[in-house]
Amino acid sequence: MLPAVEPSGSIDFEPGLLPALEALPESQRVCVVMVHGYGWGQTEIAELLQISPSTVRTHLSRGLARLQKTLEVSGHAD
Amino acid sequence: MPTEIEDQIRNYFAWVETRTGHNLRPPLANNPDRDAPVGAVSRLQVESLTAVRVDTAQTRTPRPRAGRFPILLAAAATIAVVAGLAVIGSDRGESPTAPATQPTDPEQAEVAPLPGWEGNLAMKIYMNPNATDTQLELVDQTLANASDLIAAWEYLDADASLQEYERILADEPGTFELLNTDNVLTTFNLVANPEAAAASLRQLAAALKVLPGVYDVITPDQARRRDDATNTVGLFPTGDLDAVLLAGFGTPQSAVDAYLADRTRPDVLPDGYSATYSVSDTAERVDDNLSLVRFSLATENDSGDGLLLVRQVASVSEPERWVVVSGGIATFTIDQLEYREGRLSGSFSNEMGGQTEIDVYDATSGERVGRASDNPFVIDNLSSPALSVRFWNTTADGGYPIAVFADALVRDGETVTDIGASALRDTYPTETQPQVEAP
Repeated sequence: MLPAVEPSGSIDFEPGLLPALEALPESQRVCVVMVHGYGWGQTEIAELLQISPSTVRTHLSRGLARLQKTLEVSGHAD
Repeated sequence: MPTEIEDQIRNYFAWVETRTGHNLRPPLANNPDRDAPVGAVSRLQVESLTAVRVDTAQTRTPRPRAGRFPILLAAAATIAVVAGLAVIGSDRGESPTAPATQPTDPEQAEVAPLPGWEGNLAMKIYMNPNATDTQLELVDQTLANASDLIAAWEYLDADASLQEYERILADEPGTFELLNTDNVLTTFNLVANPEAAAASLRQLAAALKVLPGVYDVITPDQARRRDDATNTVGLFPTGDLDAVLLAGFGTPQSAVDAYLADRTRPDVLPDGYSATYSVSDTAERVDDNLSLVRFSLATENDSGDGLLLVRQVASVSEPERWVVVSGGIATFTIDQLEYREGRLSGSFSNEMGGQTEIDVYDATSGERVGRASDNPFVIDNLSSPALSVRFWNTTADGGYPIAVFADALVRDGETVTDIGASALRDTYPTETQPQVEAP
């Protein structure tokens, strides 16, 4: 089991963010992390992953939607 | 406009980079480092394992760079996520910069390595038997990217892993026979850089553990804890069988299957006796880490139903690994076993009548250390810390070979009562009456 996240007041992310990221399908996780975590461009990722930019956008969209849903559920459970 | 989640992701990775002082961002595609060949980092030759060494660069066909890079990105993204988690976890009480080779417990520095862990190995990566070439290459390249932590590594493919297990299990041929090239876990053996921080190695292990095709990543300390657990809580298997546990005993049924395969080997059955078995498809969970599994044992003229109590030896957060604790055919009850000062005594009840043979094995080595046939019985001059006591009732009053046995573990200084299948019946709600067919 990976360690639970206990961010202090100066860290601005939900405790459930990292487990939620881990739970994403690999293609979605890669796109979300590369774009929003590392600031890569969608076109660049598309070239590197040898997929179309529209596929990158789909992965991003679905990944973010799943994260949103997971964190909402997690928040309600708390 | 960025959403709240996008902000959180950005904040998180910025925070991790600040905390670690490392740029976790994967390199661009035109980074010249990407052209380094797979396995280019030097690999330490560990003398004790030289015979089974297999170099990945020699056993796998190199893949085009363009085909590899996407999986490197996937690995990088995965590692970044998990490394962040490990960084956060490392806040809890220990120095993240403690060198990996610094013993945390003085006693541990004196402990000889377990078989298979010679050569100062820091970590083993067990790969699924069906791991693809691409998955193996991903691990290999991930290790190459972690050359600041890993000084050397080797990959043992299925054939080499079997050779290694044959060496490790030299005293337990019956267990080794359970393995083959289709079910054996192949292995990456890793040697750490002496300067590598223990916390960094844990981060790497966590990152490797979630890569596709990886079954488990364990350290010597984890291996020893599993080995100790195996030796002390279960009848089967015995000794250092971590690899076998990982390979085959992921469910209560698979543990029972392996256990009964071992117990019905011709060389451990009473002379002239043969038996076959079948295992129920379902297991009855009776506690967080205990399950009951039904099985049937058959001889040429007889069959009997029984129960085996199976215990999970790893924590629930790790891959499940199960060992058999006790049990037997329902018509046989071990009333008492007592093992003190080298003397084993016991008594039993056998509804089928006939002759019972009692074989006593060292629970760790699997070596037979005593035999009896009386009821009650006494065996002296034993020195094993724990004993596996097996009862076979091979001949009923009618004289034909029947299918009755029981098995229990007793440690030095213990008295155990009411064990075996009959003691388990009350906790198994769907258990039916024993079914013993006349010849």
